[in-house]
Amino acid sequence: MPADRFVGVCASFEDQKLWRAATFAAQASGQAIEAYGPVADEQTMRLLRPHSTQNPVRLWTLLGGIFGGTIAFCMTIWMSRNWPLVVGGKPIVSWPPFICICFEMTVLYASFACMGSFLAYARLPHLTLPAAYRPEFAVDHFGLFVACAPIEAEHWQRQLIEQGAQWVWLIENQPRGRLALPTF
Amino acid sequence: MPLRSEIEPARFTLREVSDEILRPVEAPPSMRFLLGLAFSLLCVAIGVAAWGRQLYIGMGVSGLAWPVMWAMYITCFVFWIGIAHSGTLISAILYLFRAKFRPSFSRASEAMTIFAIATAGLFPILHLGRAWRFYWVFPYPNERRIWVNFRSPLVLDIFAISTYLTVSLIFWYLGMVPDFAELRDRALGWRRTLYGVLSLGWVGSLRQKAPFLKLYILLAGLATPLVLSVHTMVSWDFALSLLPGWHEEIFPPYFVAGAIFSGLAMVLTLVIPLRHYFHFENHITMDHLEALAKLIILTSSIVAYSYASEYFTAWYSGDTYERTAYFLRAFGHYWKPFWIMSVCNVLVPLLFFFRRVRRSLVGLLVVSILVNIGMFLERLVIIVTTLAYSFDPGSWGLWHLTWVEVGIVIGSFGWFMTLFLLFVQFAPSLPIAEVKRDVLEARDMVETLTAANLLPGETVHAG
Repeated sequence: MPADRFVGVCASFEDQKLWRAATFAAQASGQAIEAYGPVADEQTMRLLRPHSTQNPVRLWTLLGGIFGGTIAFCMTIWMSRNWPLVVGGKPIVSWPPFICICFEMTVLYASFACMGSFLAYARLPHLTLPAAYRPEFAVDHFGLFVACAPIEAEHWQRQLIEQGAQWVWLIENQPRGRLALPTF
Repeated sequence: MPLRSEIEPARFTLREVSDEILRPVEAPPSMRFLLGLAFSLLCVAIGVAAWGRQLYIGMGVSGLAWPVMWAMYITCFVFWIGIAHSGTLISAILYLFRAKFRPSFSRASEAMTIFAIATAGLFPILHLGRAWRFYWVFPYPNERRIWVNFRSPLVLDIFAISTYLTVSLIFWYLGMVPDFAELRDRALGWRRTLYGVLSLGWVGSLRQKAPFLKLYILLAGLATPLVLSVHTMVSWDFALSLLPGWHEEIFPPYFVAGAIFSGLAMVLTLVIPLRHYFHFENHITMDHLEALAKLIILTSSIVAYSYASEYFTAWYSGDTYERTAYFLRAFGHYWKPFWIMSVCNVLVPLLFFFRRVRRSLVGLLVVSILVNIGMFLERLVIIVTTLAYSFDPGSWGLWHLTWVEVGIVIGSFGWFMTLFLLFVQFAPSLPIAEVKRDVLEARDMVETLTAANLLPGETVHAG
């Protein structure tokens, strides 16, 4: 394997708890890691990503909502004044019914911002898959990729097998960009 | 102690879950599927032919005549919006409350929402007559130099329903992305390309899951009040008028409860055949179906209370017009739909108080279909009787059903079923990742209970 393309070691676990422990240990050792699994459970997230509660998706959603609500109020008021039709003796700017449109657009833009920020932070859509990814990680196995130098590979292979990995293999980036860099 | 349904998933492997749920998607379409699709498309063709005749001859063929200018089309609109109501609500609220039976219904009910809105949205266009001018309701710069009337509940409807469709679509699609990724990894040929595009490059890494979990709970939180707002605004189409039988404060909660009620019934109507044909008995258990039946009892009681409240208010107000409107609703020309509606929506759901009915597939299916019929007639009764018997007897007039309207109603059911059949053939009907999460949680629970010597034989049944 050409040393300049070597990026790290990947392990496949059948047991979720062993995978969690190995991932936690690798993370604690200061290595750049990425973990894959078939389920998105909050327990793992709390253990491995304790700061995920401060996820910026929430902030973007809030900003999207504020933007949508403001735009809705501005739009309804401006359009009503631009075509000042009196209906049922109500004032031209009858803001109580405008609240409904404001609410709907708040939710709409908050959802757009939520989706957009999710896609941005999850780096999606992605045309290629990470070199460390295996289809079994979507079915019934849990994957752990540890980025390391070629000289550390043997150490990490041994350690991951001791921690309960079923298989461990070396990862290299594919030539000509067919596969993307592993995401850290 | 946990419920039996909470620890039962522990006996499956994760691969078994994938194989079972993806089998219908990966297998070639069966003859039953093709026959069902052909029948649905035939219904769509009947609807298209009826609409074509209406476009060619004019609105006169529809049976709409003064004073009943809203009848079958608006009934269908409110009915389908009501059906759409429950899907996202079930999915979002059950997610927020971490309900264990959510995965059994969430995907099918979200799909039901999308397809029901797609069906409901056709009816105001059909009702317009000049359907090609439907876009006039949107606020856009135009050569007429006018804007829409933002004080009209009809315009509020446009905003509410289009927002609801968009948010439901985002919620539904992004929830399916992890499952599409699994399909991508298993598929070959054009299916691999299709699911590869739909999965957006999802690999289930921590980097992707952290924002995904946040996204999902935020969308669930946003969708829940949105659901309530949509049918509230639909109810204002009626309640903001001054007509007896429509001008009531109770309409928003009454409509919302009715929509959830009919939506729950439709979920049962769709999920029971789905469970049977795709052999999802391991994942959609009787306990899950029973939980839905209990929710139907609750919503039915709210609807029954609303009916009683309407009549009491009309009597207690002493208003002649209100009293007459409600008297004629029950004993006028349209007495049959009124009494069928009352029996189907108030009395029939009481059968769910019997455990044998709640745990019988035939019982659940029959009651859910009767509730759907009852809720369709409820909308017809509300709309037609009020318009037929408004203030002055000199202005009363009756509406008569025509074959064009019947054809369009058949077409709408065909359109809905076509979309739903295509969905179950090309996308996983259950959220695989969530079912797997339940399997892993159940395994943990079994381990804990075994360590505490509480297994086997001491699990508590849901009933």
